[in-house]
Amino acid sequence: MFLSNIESIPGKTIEAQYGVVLGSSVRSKHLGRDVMAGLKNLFGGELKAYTELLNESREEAMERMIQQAKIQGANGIVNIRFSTSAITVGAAEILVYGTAVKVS
Amino acid sequence: MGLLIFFGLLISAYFVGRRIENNHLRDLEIREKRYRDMTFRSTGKKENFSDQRGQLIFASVVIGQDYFKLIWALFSSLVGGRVYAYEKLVERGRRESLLRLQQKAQMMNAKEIVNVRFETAQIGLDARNNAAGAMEIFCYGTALN
Repeated sequence: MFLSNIESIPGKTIEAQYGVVLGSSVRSKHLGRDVMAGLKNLFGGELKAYTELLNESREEAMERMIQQAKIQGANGIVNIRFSTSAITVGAAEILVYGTAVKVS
Repeated sequence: MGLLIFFGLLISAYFVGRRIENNHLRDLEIREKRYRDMTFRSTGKKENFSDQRGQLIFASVVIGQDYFKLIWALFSSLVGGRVYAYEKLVERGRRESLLRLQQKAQMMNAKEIVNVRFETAQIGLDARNNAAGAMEIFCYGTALN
């Protein structure tokens, strides 16, 4: 699967477009991790548990988007965009979307 | 007694927090020198890169404010104007996430990152205090080689 956030896939030509595909994932934090993050937050700095959590979440959202594109017979997604929002306390939604294309 | 604990926390958060911040800034400077050759730009969306190969990359960091600065920021928002504590924090976060992006690009032997986009999301850490001062700074782009 070729992915890019520009309007083409470098080195390829777009043959067909299949419209928007998207994937999302809502994750909340694990309790054990959160206690540590709370302690860490007292002194500031990077909260690694959260960085990991959001990255896992993002991978999952992308996986879902890629699955959708595959079902339609695409082999690439262009103009990918990400968006994150805290929808409730302790849970974040990651949304990723793009346009599924066939390239060669 | 409660007040004593509060001030104890405040003072230790100030010293430890400042140390973490200074270490981070020093670390950032060293690493920025290492990735000086990796150029990045926020343009290139509609350009034609037919003679190159490219791939989407992204990097993020969740960074939190220390307790002292949280209180400080609270007071400075009473007065209004610049909230220095937060300006510093977002700057650190942005530099860190950009460095991680450049690191990823270098690992795949890319020469350039185009169409770089930044995004910031606030993260509430607990139910009572939604604005616990943690934020995720995320950036992404297309690496070309």
